[in-house]
Amino acid sequence: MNLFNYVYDGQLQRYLREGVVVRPYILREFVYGKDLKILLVWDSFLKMSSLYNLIKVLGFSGLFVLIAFIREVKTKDILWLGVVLLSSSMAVLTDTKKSYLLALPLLIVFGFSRVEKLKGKVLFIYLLLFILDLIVW
Amino acid sequence: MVKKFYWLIFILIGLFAVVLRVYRLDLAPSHLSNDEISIAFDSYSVGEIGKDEHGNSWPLAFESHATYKAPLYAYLSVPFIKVLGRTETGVRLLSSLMGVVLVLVGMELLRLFKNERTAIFVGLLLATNPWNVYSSRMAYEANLGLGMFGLGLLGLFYYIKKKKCWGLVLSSLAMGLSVWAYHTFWVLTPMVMLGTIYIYRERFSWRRVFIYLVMSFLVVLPILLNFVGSLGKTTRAGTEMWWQDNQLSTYMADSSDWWLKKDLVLATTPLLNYLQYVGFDYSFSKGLDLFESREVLDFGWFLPVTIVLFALGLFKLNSLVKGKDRSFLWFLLLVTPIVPALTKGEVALIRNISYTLPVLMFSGLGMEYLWRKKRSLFRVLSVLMVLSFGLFCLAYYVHFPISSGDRFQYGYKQAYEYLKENELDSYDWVVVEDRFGPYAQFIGVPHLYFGYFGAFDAREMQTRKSDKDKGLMIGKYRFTEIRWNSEEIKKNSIYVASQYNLPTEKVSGKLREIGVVRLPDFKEQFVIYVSQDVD
Repeated sequence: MNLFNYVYDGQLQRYLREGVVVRPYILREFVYGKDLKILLVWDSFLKMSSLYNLIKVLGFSGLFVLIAFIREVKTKDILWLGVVLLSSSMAVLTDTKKSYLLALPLLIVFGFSRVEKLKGKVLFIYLLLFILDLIVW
Repeated sequence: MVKKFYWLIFILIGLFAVVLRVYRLDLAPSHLSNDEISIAFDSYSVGEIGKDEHGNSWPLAFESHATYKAPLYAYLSVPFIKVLGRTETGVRLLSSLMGVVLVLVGMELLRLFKNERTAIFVGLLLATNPWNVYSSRMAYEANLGLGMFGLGLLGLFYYIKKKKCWGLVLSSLAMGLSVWAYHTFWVLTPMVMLGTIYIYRERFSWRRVFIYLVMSFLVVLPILLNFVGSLGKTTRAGTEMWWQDNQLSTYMADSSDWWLKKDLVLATTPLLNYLQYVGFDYSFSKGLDLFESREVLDFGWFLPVTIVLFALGLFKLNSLVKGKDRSFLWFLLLVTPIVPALTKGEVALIRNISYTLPVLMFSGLGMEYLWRKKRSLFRVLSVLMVLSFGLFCLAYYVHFPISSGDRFQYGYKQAYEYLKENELDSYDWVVVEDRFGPYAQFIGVPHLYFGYFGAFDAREMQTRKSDKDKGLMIGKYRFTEIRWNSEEIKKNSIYVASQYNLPTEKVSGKLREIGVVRLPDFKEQFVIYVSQDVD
């Protein structure tokens, strides 16, 4: 069948003449090869580790605690979080939304272990944000 | 060594940027988009008769799709369209040139901040930046605004770093013009100007600050007067603020939640928007949104590897840049997403365009750190950069023009060319369907495409009449949703109809199909019919 029998389109003919119509569909095979599926994992990982998504899980107050005490995060905490995020990005554990549930215990333990440092101005801001969370979410 | 050949490399990077932004400018993207055609026609019309599409003489805000466009792009494009004709290149070239200007400005800024080598790194990052390449190949007012904003910053830093007074003159002019170019800069430009003056306050005398601000104010005065005169309706500030978002305004009006919750949701929305705009996923993975459905081959605003360089730039900034410069870089990074966060709708690439500059400045500094301290990692990342840039070129120059026709209202220009080539535009009536897409679910602006590509001129556009049933009529052209059952098929008529909208039994005997306009991926877009009375 002549696909172009019935077609008028100068621009399309130029694509055809220069071979750009056929080429991408050959190259797609390469792009959809198993090696480049890593881009999907990359996307999920970045999405899950973005502040916007963290705020959806932890709330404003949770994120505040995380940022306020970021300097005290230990390597093992980061490792655990990294493992959860990465394996969830690869859909090993569960889907990306539910995967935060696995990271939550860490974040709760992290938060509670710093409770004694929640005082003064930091405590005030935390409580304010906690109330905000209760109302908004 | 680098110092010796810096200007040669500067020119080479500039040429490289030109090639990436001008190569096949008429083919990728495959068709002028909704916003582009509006600018293109207004620019052509103003150049011909001094009026825009809607008949406003020399407007300072161009009415467009239920909102208003800033005026500078349409005016500056007039000579391009005069020289290159009513073509895609004619309206896009200005944006491409501003993209190149931004690359060179970024290099010069980093040369002033750090050294020639870092400037070269930033130049390469900017030249190959997907976001900048994408926006420079479309007639985006935002890209013009960013180019002007960059020039303004450069002028300011020529004064701050080298005490060049002409830098202040350049800066006031360019900063003022950025306000003329795009609405984001209405807020961003004054914030950055005042913030920079504050950070480097020891370098300024009050007299100079006063003259600088007055000069900038005089440049933007006509726009401000127009804004005040129209009671704020002619800017995006009147139509695009976050509280005007459909979902949010419906929630505010209809929800039974108590007032405090509603007010807090309203108040926290800009913060959540801000976090979305700085999110890693949009920046480094999917923000460019080249393809309709999420594809593996999509890209973020920056090449994926840039995240490592950006992170290094952030964490090692203290050792790379000193004192006030460090404060300025942080300030620029944090302040640029504020304006888009205040607007409605989903994350929009183009509103956050100014975020490119600080992110890539940080990334360039990260590269400088790697060059000095971790040369082997530098090599590995360079190879990955080249590979990911190659993938981006494949996605953008090859795949994107073919798969994105629908998003660019592809087919209206081709339909008109079909009529012209076959001398069918001599028919008495030409009816063009303003619906397109697989289910004819989108409403297009075919009158602008037909007008810009030559079906009628700017004067004829002024004679247009709008009718609720018949649609938009310009001379023998009628642009409307074709309802076959109620359509009166006149003698000597041509119909360009959506492929989804097949003639009903009532009219099918009176029409003869003579052609099909296909999308670049071969899907049918429009079918062309003539009335049966004519052979």
